[in-house]
Amino acid sequence: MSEQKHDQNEAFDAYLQGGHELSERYASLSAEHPSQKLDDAILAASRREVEAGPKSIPGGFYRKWKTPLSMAATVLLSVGLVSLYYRQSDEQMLREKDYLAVPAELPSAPPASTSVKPDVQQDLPSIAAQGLNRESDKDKNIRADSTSSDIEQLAAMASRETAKASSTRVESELPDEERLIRAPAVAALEQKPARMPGEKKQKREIQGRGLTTNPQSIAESDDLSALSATVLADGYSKETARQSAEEAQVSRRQAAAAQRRYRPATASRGDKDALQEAPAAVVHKYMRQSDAELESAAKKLLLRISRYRATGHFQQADRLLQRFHQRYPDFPASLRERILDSIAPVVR
Amino acid sequence: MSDQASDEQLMLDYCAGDAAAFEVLYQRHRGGLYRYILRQCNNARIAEELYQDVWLNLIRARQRYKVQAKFTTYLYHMAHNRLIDYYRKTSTSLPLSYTEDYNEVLNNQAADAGDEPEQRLAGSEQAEQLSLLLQQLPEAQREVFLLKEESGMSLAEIAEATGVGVETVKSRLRYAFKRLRQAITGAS
Repeated sequence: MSEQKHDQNEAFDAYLQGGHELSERYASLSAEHPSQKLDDAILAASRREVEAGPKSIPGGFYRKWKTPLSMAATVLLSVGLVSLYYRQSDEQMLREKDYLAVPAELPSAPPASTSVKPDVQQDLPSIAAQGLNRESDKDKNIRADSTSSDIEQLAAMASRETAKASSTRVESELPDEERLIRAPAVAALEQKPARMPGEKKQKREIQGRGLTTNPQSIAESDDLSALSATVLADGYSKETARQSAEEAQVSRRQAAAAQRRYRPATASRGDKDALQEAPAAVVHKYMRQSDAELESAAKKLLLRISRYRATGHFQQADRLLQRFHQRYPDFPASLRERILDSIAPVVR
Repeated sequence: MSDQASDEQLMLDYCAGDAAAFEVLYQRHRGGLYRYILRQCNNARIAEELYQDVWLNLIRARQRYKVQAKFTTYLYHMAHNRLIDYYRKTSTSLPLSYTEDYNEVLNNQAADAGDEPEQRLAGSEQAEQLSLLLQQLPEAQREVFLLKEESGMSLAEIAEATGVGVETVKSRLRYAFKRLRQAITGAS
């Protein structure tokens, strides 16, 4: 059995070497060939193909440019998406009214009410006219929002200023660091009325009717003043809190009195005349508030720039700083630098 | 000049636009390729159709031709692929002999049957015997035997042309040789 297998292996090896009997027998088989007609057809096809010249390979362009095209498309898409992201984030940042995303633990600027321009205390009618002219200034969004219903705002501001004065007094008794920490919370409470639902509708109604004040708005501002006082009192003595609440109530009464006083006189006249007749103290406070709000927005923008720098987003910070310079060219440089340096870089 | 040129050079000349080079190349391989296809499909009409397809595919693909192997390997690889397409078109699957473990099945069958082919074909003419026995071989074994005899390729080249390993080719060829040799020795 093993010998037979051995013979088979030897015969197979000989066959692989060539010249085996099996190959000779196979060669002796009838040698079939393709027909002449088939030969002619194939050769004619080969000649036709040569005469037709080199054809472009189907899909050759795509195959050749597939990699460069796909890389270029990827780069374009990436650049477009990144630039779109940065543009949207910047615009949203500037449009954003809610700057309260500033963390509470970050140091803030000193109270805005301290920077009152001396020329505000000039002739009251001219200041009132300036206030109305600001209404048409579209670039200053913050002011435009605050002048839609002047008398109503004046009454609200009066009560808010009273509460703020009391809170400033309370804060003045505190160390500087704690006062800086608490400033954003006060700003948050003061800005809250601007986001109250249904306010725009009320403002439209007021503008249509002349200068009828909105008691609800006054009530809201009064509530906020009280809330502000309550928040300020948090962490302090209860006596201070009670004082703040009392002062808030006083300011509420004063605002209601001012409302009652001006309603008959201003119901049938335009905004400008009504504003001219407003008491000097009220207009003065209103102007102070507008400047304060404007300054507060600038500070918050600076804080955001500082935060960008601290987290390593220098490109966004530079772009935002450029816009800041355009928007607030008169902002004090020393204060700006102080705010910008207020946030230390994040160490990882 | 073209008669002494290699197949690869002739094909390159044809790619460059020399139609005469293709005629030389065609004459060299027309018989072997035709017989390989004819004995694989056992139908002259189908064989001519497949044979024409192979050459026309070669003509169309001339711009993509690169000398990466022997031209014979390239040509028979195209023919093998065309035959596989034909098998798949005419039946639901490839013939069983193309599976890798088919040789083991054959080994068991041969052990059960003993020398049956030798006894059955003993009285026929030798050429007819061989032709008949060749038709009885499984497709994969017959293909390897035909490629060896018609194209003169080595085992490695056959393996490259058929897309299988060298050992598989050797095994198939061994079984084919064993069966054909038994018939021949029995006949003689």
